[in-house]
Amino acid sequence: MKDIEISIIAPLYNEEDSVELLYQKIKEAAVKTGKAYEIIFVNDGSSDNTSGVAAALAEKDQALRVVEFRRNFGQAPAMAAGIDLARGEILVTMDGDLQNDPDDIPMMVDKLEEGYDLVVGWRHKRQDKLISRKIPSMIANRLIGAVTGVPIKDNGCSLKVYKAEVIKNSPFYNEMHRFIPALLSLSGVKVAEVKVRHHARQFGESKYGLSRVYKVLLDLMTIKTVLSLGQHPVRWFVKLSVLPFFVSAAIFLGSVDQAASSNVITSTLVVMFFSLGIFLVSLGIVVELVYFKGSFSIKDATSLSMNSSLMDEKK
Amino acid sequence: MSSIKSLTIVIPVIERGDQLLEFLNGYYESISGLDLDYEFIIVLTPEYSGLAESIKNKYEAENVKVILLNRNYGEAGVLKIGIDHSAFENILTLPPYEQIAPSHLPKIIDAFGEHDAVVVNRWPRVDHKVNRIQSAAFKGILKLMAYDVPKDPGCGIRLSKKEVFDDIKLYGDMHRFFFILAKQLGFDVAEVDIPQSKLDSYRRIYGFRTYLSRVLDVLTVGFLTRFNQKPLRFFGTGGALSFLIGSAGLTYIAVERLMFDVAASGRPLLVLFSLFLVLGVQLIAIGLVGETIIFTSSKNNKEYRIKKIIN
Repeated sequence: MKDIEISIIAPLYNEEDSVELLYQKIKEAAVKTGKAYEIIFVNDGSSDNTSGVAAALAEKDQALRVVEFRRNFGQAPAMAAGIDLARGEILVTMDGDLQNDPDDIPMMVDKLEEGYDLVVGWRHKRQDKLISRKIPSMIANRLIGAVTGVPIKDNGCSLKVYKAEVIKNSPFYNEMHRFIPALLSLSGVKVAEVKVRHHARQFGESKYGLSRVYKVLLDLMTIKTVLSLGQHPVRWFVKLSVLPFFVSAAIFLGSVDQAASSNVITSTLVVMFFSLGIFLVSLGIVVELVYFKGSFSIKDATSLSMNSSLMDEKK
Repeated sequence: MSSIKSLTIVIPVIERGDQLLEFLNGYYESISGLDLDYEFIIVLTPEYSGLAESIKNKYEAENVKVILLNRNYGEAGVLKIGIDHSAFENILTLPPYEQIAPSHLPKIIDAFGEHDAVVVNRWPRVDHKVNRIQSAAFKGILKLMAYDVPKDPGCGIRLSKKEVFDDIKLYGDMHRFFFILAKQLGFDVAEVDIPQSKLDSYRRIYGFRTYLSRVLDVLTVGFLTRFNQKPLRFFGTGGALSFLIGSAGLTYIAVERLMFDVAASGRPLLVLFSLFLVLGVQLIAIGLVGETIIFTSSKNNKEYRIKKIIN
């Protein structure tokens, strides 16, 4: 058997109606790329018969691998599992609900081979509900662009084509996947964005809503922190602690000649802000320890992928 | 006819071990009457090291193994040591005191079937009222914090494939949450009703420290199962709220000071709102530290568990 060149990964969650069609469309697209391929379906603990349908398909086709989760873990872990198990040099991730069109895959692979490391789909004519999907997504994309400084138009699109070595070393967990294009771009990986088709859902229910913006906001704080910490966590936290120390000192100096009646309040404030400063510096030291002990050293954003590939060699 | 061919019975002895020998006898008879390969592993903390001799004299070393520890590693740690020494793939854990009558052990094995694990629900209960109130309170708090709560979280009797124990990180008092943690990892865990033993029904009152640590354990488990990948969502929500209250209050005080010339320095509210502000910053900062821990270890911690792969 030829070595697998391209792996196409789709997570499935309660897609018993669409899985067969999805399989056929992906297969057509994979054949068009002219490469030795595998299709990886990750069944994310579906409660319907997705598992049975997928298994029946896999029985007839060696190129289809079906990964069964023990329970429902979520879309991002399902993608992560597919990426971990993929054997190809090029990896394609996409939604399992036929909102992405597998016909776009050959075009994206061609784009990758022009010399990019990552090709991101941009759903320029997105077929989703305005209020619950498009607006949150727009806000999220703007925020991500503003914080990371990488203007990617559609971070949330699942349809992406990666070089395996680029994505296999990325911190792909939880809902962090939407930051991966931006993170990788910062670390010097060449990212291209291409327009892709997007279809309205044919089967089943959409599973997400407005609470996303809040989650993205918190995740962004994480990304921003991780990026700002750079090589010197202690320094970043010391910088943060300057303000409380300053407030503490200012109140102290301002209250030296004040009446005794207000002394309790001002001295409380002085101590409180001083202790906040100490707290932040201490945290910086703890984070230094976390970095020191952690297996995945993000020395700084620009060496993200380099560092982690070094790590893999050691194993 | 039992569904399994071999079984390791692990008994960690860290408390209430005085009558172990009697119970062991009952358990031994119950198990040795079954058609399967078995071994008992008794893990003794230094306090109970005196039991080792009598166990050795009574049973053959092949069937009943004794592990003597040089110190007490806590119940989960002691349990883990026993499990690590087991020769077979199916593990039955028993407490060193009688929660159910030994003659009911085969029922657990029957209930095991195709499941990954079975936990015992002591039912019907003959428990003392005080115990029941305690159990109900513990379960109530647990329900607030975690999703899948077993009917009887206080029962230490469980039959499980070894891989379940290996996948759960057993430390501290985590063994109490076996059911919740196993479910979290996607294992198929069943419950079986077994009548409670009369010997288990006497009134139990613990020290204040025990109750406090139970509550803390529940909080830990709730956090670990619900927010283990997103500490910032746990800390950040409270932190942001506190930060907003603080900054809104301080803005109000500043406005009064600047526009209406109300002296700010003499107001207790100033301390209160500053406190909210500081607390908010601290909680968010802690959440971010949690996130960096997750981020830096993300390649070692798989979020998913695979049942099987076809092709």
